[in-house]
Amino acid sequence: MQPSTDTASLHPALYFTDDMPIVKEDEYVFRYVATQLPGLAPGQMAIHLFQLLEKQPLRLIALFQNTLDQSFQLNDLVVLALSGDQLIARKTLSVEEIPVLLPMATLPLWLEFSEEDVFVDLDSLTDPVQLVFSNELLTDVQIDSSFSETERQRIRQIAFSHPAPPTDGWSLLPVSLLKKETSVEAIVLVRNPSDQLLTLDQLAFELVTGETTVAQTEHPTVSVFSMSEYAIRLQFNYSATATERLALRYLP
Amino acid sequence: MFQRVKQLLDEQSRRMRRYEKIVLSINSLEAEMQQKTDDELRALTVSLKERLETGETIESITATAFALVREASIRTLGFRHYDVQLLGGLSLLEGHIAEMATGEGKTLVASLASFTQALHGQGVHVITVNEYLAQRDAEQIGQIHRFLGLTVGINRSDLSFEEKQLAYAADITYGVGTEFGFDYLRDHLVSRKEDRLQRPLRFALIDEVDSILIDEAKTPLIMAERDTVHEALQQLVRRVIETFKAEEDYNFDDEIKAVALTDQGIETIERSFGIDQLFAAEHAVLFHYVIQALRAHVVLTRDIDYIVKDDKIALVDLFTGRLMEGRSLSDGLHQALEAKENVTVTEENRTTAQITVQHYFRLYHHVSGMTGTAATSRDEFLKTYRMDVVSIPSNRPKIRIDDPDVLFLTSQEKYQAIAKATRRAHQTGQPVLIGTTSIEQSLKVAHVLDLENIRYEILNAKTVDQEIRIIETAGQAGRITIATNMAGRGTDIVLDEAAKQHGGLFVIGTERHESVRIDNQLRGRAGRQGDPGLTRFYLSLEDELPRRFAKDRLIRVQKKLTTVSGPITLKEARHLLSYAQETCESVNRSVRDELVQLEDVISEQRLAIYRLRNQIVESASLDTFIQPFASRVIHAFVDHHLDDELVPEEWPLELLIADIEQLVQHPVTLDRVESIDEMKQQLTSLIADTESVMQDHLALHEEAARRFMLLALDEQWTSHLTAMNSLKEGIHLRGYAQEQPVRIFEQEGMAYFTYAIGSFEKQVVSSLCRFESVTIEGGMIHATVD
Repeated sequence: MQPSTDTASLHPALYFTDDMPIVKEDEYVFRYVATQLPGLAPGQMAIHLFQLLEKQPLRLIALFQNTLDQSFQLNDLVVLALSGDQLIARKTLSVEEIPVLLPMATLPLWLEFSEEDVFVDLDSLTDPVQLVFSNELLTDVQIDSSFSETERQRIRQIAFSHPAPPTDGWSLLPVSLLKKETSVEAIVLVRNPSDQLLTLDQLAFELVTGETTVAQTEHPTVSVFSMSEYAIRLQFNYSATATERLALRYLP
Repeated sequence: MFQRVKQLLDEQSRRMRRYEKIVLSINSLEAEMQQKTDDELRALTVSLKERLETGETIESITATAFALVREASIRTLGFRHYDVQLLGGLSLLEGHIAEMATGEGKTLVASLASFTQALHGQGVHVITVNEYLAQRDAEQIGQIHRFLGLTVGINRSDLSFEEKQLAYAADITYGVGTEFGFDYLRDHLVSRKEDRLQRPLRFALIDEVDSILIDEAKTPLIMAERDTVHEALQQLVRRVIETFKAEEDYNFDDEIKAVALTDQGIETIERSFGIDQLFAAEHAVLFHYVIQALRAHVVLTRDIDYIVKDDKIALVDLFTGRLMEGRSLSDGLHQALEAKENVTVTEENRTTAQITVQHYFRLYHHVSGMTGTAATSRDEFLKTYRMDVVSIPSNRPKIRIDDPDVLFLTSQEKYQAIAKATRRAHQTGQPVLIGTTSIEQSLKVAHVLDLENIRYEILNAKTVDQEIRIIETAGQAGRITIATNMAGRGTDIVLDEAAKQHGGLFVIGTERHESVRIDNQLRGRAGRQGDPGLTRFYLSLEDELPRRFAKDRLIRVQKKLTTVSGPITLKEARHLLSYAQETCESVNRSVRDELVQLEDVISEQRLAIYRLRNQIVESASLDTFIQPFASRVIHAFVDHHLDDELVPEEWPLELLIADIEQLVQHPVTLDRVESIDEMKQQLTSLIADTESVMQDHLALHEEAARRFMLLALDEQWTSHLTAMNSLKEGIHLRGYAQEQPVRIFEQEGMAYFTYAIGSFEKQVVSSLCRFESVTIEGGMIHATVD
């Protein structure tokens, strides 16, 4: 079928290639779904979830549309999977996985997410899954081995859920605050969107409830690679009550 | 018209005079045969075989062969062939249909032609109505053949492969036509030639030939496999079809239960699925789903054609109104119904091979047939099968009386009259056979006899053996038998002495059948071999035939007869029945004629596919077979993607390259040349390289490749059959200006076929290029809709 256009938008034609693991009947399901997709303006790309194949590992089929006028290859383009407003997984599309993309085309793509790129228990999802392209600049999150698997999942989810700070500075992003019997533990991401190595001598933080400081702590020197984020753990000696509302404050 | 009739009569009488001369020769040999010892008769068989082997014609040995069989029959069975039976045998030998009245000993007549043709040593198949008769004839007539040194086999459905092999290796093999047809289909699903059963098909002799070649014309032999339905696609198609409106999106012909999309319907499907041409071969799969969904929604009605029970669809037998337990519709229609009714979707029966009985018999070098009733269908036999009907005179003159029909206004009066006539005959000891058109009607007759306290035997869905036993005793004095017309066909009703004295068998017809020929089949039950007998049809204006085929005239006649009771004598009313029957015959003849023509298209394709298949099975090396595939497949890519009407700069070269790369499994570069011919020229060396890779890989994996190719071809043929069957649906409703449905079917069927062959060749090239992938792996992922 030829690409169709109307006054408002373009509907790039759907293409199949012989190596796609589908039978003829599947083609028509793709075609039907493709006809329901919204149109695009010239020079745009879009990605839509077609079908969730498997949850462990997360495997899905996406429909990738573009209205560019020449063929191209994708490298390091990041796709995020959302459920409601929750980031559930993330995947960097690489040249090895994605074929040459034809101009003005809609292509089915089979995507598999690595375990560490899935941030939630997929069985607990209540909202439908959606795919979006990410414009994130920070592509690497450094997490050392002291963090548990659950903590790592949470850190990566927070890291990729938040827009990157401007490239001319660095920032801190709280990940979690955990009340223990005699202490409070916090995880914080140090984010470096610049193209240079960031070294911070010492980082001081205080734990506050309302406007009152209840504890202080320091973190030793941190080095964060360019375009990366680094997770640190902070320990406050403070016994918090169950209902106490706590916050973290950075002391420059 | 009269000229043609005269010509046919002249032909008949010339032929009969010729036969009579041969009969004289046969008779003149009788004394000589009587003098011979058993061994000398057998030696004569051997010498006749040798004469055929050395090039003599069958005509030159016919008289001796027939005289031999006649003598062998006397010595083994004690039956001597009458001269008229020899005439019948001669017509069979020449590939005609011998029309002989019931009781004229057709089985014995068949022995003459089957023996003589078997002398060729290439096998003769004698086709009977059921396995019981095959067994009986093989045992009885087989004595003659075996006595003369020939071998006899029975081809039954319950035999093992080895037993079937033996049956087929015999000089003469008896069996039911459908079993031979299924064996033919099975022979074309094997991967080694030693797994085949049948030799080239030389001579078939069909008993009750009219029921096989005319009455069963609409019934194809189908081999099917279980397959899962693509539920996601089924649901989407259903979603679209449910928005359709009659006459806007589809047309429905209630009379023949056919449905077809209108242009608007076609456009909606094309728009919904983002395609250009629904009828293009590449979209045959979608078209199939659409047609089945449409049939499920439009043609089949809940609580009439089927009911929904326990999360299942149960089909209703339209004749009896009973549920047909365990029966399902094929090729995805049943599953489309399940989707429509939101019950669990089961696996479908996917047709892997199909042939109609008559197309199967056309594969024989020679076919002949016997029946008691063929003359009224002579034109059809001549036109469709090129078989002439030769009416063989009976040995003794017929004394049966065929009474005029007795016609009533209502069916209630009719059944009462039947009960009275039965009682009257029964009181005299005359046996009565009441022929019905359906089991439902049998039950109605039984009901009125019950009310009159008349005892009877009813044939109702019993086994063939029981059926035959009941029919055999139906000629005993005082018997009353109710049976559908087809029950126990092929079995004579023999009268006992008391029955003969009481006027022989009284056959009562309860309704005109769809043709005079079938009426005559029923009448033919009485008066065998010069026996006395009586036939009479009891009819009413409420019968199905006038209601369906003479609706307008019926209304006029009914108006004139509103107050009449008792038998109707009005001429117009009596003509009405004949008119309805003639109309019905004509409609059925046209439907059969069209069906045969449609099947001809599939038959040609089947022969082509089977030729390909045989090449794959039988070729010592497949090199030459696959040699042209690469260039055809790659050139097809070029033709698909490039368009001479576009400037080369606008050609989607990336798509062409992507397809070729996937096929040959390595990167390809192509220059943007000026024309399609130049592009093909540019691909010459790539094609040569591909051919060379394919040959290398074939040399390493020849047997695996052979198996793969057979599977690929069978898969394509299966899909193609499904597509062709969908295409056939409602073909005559397709509104093409001035185009014959058969012509459309031929054209679109050819496009489908070309596509199937192209897909097969692509699969072969692709697999051979992939080397390791020559082994067959599954692993397809079916998409579903969330």
